[in-house]
Amino acid sequence: MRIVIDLQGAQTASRFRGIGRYTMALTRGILRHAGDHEVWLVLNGALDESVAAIRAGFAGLVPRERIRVFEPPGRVAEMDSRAAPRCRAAEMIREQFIALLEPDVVLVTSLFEGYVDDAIGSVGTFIDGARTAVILYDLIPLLNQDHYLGSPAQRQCYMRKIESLKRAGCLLAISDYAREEAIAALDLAPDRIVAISTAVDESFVPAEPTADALDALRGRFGITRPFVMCAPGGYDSRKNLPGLITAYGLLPADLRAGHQLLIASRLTDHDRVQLEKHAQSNDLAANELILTGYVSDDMLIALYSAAALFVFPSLHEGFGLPALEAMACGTPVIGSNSTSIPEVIGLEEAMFDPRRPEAIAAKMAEVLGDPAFGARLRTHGRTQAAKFSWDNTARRALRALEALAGTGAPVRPRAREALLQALAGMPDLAADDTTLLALASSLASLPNPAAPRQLLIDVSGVNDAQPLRGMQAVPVFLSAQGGVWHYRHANEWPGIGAAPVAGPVADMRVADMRVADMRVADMRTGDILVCPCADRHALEAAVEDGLFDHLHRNGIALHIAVDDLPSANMPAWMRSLVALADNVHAGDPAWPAIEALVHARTIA
Amino acid sequence: MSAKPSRPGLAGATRATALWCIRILARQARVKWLARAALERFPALQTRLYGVLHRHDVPPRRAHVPQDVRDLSPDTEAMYRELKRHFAARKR
Repeated sequence: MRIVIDLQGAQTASRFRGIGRYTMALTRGILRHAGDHEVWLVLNGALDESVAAIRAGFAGLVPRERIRVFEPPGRVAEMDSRAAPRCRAAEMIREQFIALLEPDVVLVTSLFEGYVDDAIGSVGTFIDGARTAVILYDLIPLLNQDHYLGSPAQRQCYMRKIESLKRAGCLLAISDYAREEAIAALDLAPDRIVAISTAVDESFVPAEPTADALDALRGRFGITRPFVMCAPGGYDSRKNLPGLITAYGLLPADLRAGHQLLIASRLTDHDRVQLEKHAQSNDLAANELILTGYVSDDMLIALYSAAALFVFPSLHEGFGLPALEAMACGTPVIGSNSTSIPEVIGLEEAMFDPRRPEAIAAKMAEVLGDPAFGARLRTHGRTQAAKFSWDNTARRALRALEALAGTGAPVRPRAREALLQALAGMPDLAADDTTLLALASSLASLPNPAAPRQLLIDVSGVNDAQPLRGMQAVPVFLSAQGGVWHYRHANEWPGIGAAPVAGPVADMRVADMRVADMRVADMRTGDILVCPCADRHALEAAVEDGLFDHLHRNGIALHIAVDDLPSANMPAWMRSLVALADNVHAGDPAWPAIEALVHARTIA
Repeated sequence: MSAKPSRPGLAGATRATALWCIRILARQARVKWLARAALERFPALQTRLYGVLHRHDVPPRRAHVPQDVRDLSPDTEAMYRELKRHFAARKR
């Protein structure tokens, strides 16, 4: 079975949040358990700051040729209403892109992106979505529209995603609660939604902080005594932090005197001021409330390990990962009895009603005043956390995908003509040259299974073509046009006529070539580019311009020769080029060695 | 789709200049940060202006989209010609 995973969930701003972690961890889990299944990854080229990191993250796990980059037709973020037609066009092109990879099933890791960024997510707008599965994190904006979907544009964008969600053959929910919520809210057949759960990173394990580490924590955050902790996983009104502060204020005086309240979360200045005001109005002294701001994972683990109690008072969650992280670290955890949180904590006596600060305070006092209860919570937490693992989640996802692959017809592309007609049939899509050029570039990035894999040789620094004689290759010339660096090839290369592809490189006289007569070369994923002795200045400018980053991100293998690899005097640009290269030939950059290197590779 | 007609005379020129200044200012990260901080006190307005205030936080990548047909690769040019034909048919 061929599984194509749309990894945009790990590309947008979500990559810094739970969705990004979920996407990466689940994909790695699927790869570990894929067996005979083939896994392909699709990335969005417009979110290119993440492409190289993701390629590096899956190096050795997924062959380069199976990581494909889709290029949208320009900016498509939906917050700009003018981008709407381009966005609709991009949705169709992306679906065709994935279909051209001929998957048995498609897995979309995050559909609800693309309002403020150039992510593109749709199901069933051009290609049938019956064999598409979508990860469902929660439907919180749908169920709280006034709070989360304030503007008509946001609402329209979100509701369009909901329609896509409904067209997917299968939803993979991150909790039983998220599944039940979707069945009720979207009126879907229960057998179309599978709960695959989630897990915490392996680094979240019980750790006894050293005395030095504890001192560092105390010094950094102003911790002077044992503390009650909350890490809400992002600031939002549903996280109920004011409720927690009120509850802390209701604790008996001796417990308050013996414990501080620490909230570990990224906060804006305004959020911070609001929480501090709320603390003052509940008569908390200045040193009773600690707002850490953003903390790294290592710091978070140290705080979990040092906390006397972890409280999770959220009103609405799709899962509630911080509670599981704290339990995995061996911290006593109590939490809200609403939505998915009971499923995560899994212990009735550890729950409270989050809408009643007195109930939160009573449960906190119960744990802080009874060490035996605290010890019971620690033991339970570790047992409960062990039930959640990425291996289990990945196995569940794979089972669901296998079942999906047994239904309906496989995902296949539609005729190119149909796509072009559909695009031309969009009345709002402008027919100006800028739009058509952008669309053409996007369409040209579609996979072309019929195109042969090319070996391209940079001849821009070659004066003597003799060593190239007989090589089956496309000679390309490094050149700038309009300030952008490209590799170009000649239609009429001296000695080989009009056949730039796979013709023998013969008696070229580069000096006779005119760059203006050359065309930008088509380079595709899987091609190999050899740079034996390009002009230093041109190479440097192209490196600075990001040309080689672009080629690397698009899966084009790079072979270079450098005069003196170990030299400490090697300029920074050359170092960055060497870092991108798949093969570096150091020392004598003689042609025969390069030729042997390239011939050692099988060129289709 | 036609653009909104501009106001004639001095009023129009003043308005255009003011809008131009606001646009320039709104591109400054510090200005946007201050505006966002102020708007956090007005959640409904904040939601409506979310897009405007978060745009260009990260400078857009230099487009790889060519600006001229002569800068297209053979595959892209073939695609461009086909698109042109389909869009011309739409007009007809």
